[in-house]
Amino acid sequence: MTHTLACAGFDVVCLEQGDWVNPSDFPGNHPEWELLIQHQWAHDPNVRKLPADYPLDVSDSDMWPVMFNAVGGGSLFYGAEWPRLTPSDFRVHTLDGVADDWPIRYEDMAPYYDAVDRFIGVAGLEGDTSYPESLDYPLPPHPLGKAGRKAAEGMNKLGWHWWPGTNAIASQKFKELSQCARWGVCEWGCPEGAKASFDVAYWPHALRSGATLLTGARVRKIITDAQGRAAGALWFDREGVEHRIEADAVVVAANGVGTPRLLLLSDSPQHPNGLANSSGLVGKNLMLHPNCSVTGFYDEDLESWRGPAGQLIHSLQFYETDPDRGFVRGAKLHALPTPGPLNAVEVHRELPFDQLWGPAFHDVARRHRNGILWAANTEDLPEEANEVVLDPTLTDPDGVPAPKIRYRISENTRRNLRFTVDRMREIHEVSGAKQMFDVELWVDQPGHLLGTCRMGDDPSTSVVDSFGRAHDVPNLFLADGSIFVTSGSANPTCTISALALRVATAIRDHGGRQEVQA
Amino acid sequence: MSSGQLLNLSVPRRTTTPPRDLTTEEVASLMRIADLLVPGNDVDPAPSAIDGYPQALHVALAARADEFETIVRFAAAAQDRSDAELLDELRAAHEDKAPGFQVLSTVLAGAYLLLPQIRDNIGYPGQRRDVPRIDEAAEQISDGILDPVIERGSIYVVVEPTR
Repeated sequence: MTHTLACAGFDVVCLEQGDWVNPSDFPGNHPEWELLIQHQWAHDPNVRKLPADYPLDVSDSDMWPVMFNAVGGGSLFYGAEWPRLTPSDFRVHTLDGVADDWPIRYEDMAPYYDAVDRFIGVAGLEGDTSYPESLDYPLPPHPLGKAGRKAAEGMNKLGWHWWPGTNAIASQKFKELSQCARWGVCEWGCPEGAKASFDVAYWPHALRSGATLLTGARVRKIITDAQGRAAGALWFDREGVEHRIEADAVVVAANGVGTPRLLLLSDSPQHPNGLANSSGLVGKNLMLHPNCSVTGFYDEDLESWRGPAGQLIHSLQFYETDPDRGFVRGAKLHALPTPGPLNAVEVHRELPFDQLWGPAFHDVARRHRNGILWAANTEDLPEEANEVVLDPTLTDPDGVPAPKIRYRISENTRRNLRFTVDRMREIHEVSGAKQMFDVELWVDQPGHLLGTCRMGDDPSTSVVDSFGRAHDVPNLFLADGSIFVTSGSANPTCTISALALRVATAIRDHGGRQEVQA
Repeated sequence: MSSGQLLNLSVPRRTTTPPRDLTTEEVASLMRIADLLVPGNDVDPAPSAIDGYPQALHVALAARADEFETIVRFAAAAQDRSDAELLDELRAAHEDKAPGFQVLSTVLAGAYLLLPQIRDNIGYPGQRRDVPRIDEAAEQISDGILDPVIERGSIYVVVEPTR
């Protein structure tokens, strides 16, 4: 967004509540990294509690949304798995009679997917049979490694789809990105600067194109003028001093929790229920992609400390609806290595004492080389009761109301989770795993924050149009996961990025047409 | 900032020193617990048999400084227990998922796994630069492993245009 508009000559100022993080800061640089990621660098902001973070009330939620607040945002902590949504994801209502169709199709998104892939240097292998033909990537795929090969051999025995992992991790040096050196700690920041987190992949280009970035700038309200248009923002600096910035147009990209929070905080006489909320849908339909996993340990040395992680291989075998399964939609599976001996110990924690501690400990610690993590995102469907609201008492360090999450996992999703865990056990079994550990729901790992300001053609049933423009406020745009209609089960950053580029392109090409709707 | 350094809002300040020095008794007590959780054998020495363990414990405690007081409370409680009593209590704490045991055990085990001798023994090279050979990726997918997937053909659902 910032890069596209700055390149087009727009005067762009970006307000970021966090700071820059240097690759040398990340925990993977240090021997005690497995302890650092438990608290100081935890994914959960309620655990980490850094000054850039804001708290979330999760007391009424089955899962605890996670995020990272810094230049580049959550992409600093993502695994950089880079699958697109499939054509069916945009037509869930038509195909399955549930939820809603998107107002756009895969074909509308494809040029933007392609453009982002080319810009950030996505690594993958052309010809994935789970996507329309002609899907190709600018960089070659990463090595499968012994763990990836083992996982792939198991999939072949079952006759199931798999493909070398598509990752936004540079397999060769690419622009500002270093070549991946397989540190294996992708989800806690890349020490090499090889992962396409957006502080590295986009921001240097945006700054060189003339954009301005203000760090330590926490926005508390989008201000509006007498006509109800967005007029700028009020924000706190790192000393807690309030500032006002004026703008001809405002773009919010604060993730599926932060964006509805900010819109709800931005109420005014013209927008009494929050900005852009005449539909009442701001904050509703939260989707979190409940994750499940089965870690398997094998007799063979799989060198499982080695990255990327990142997905070694992925599978869309169970992505689509099959009526025989007893639920609609599906899951995207991915195989990863299992770096770190202390992490291997923690996986075994559910075992009886004598199978983990005492003389058994040494064997458990050695298994860190022998693991494969099969994990999956499951598709959860939009439900209005799953929502982000403003907490009546909890605030961030600047005194701004914090978000409260209300989220319950549906029976459809529970069936999906159980089915998917069973399939991942099947893969491990046929691959020869000697021991398996299931996690049917990763309670503290949903970093995919989607659907809370959905797009659509009808202002009564959506918050923004298909170009991210708020139906109620013609110079307000949203460009993050909040504008998803359904979640798919593909990791969403690829689609978030393509949507952001699509929104930015529309602003660039049609920025002058900003008429207040009657 | 009292340190004169600008606070980075998104980066925790790294320290390898726990909130305070452990007393001699606390170190001894934690070493006893560590030896019970990770007893030595012919190949892998017990924590107390490795000179570097106390320093590794300091680093581990610093990394989990948020639970420092929890851990030293365990140390204090262990001082008047026999090894047999202590082992029973640790077993019970594990089985009951007692508050504090998870962090106690992860810090004591984590310190042990920081030791170079132990990393060598268990074959852990640490997370580090490990750039692949230029032909490594191609080599690993060019032996026909993908053929069954390709032979099955497309699996995606074709969606008819709606407009």
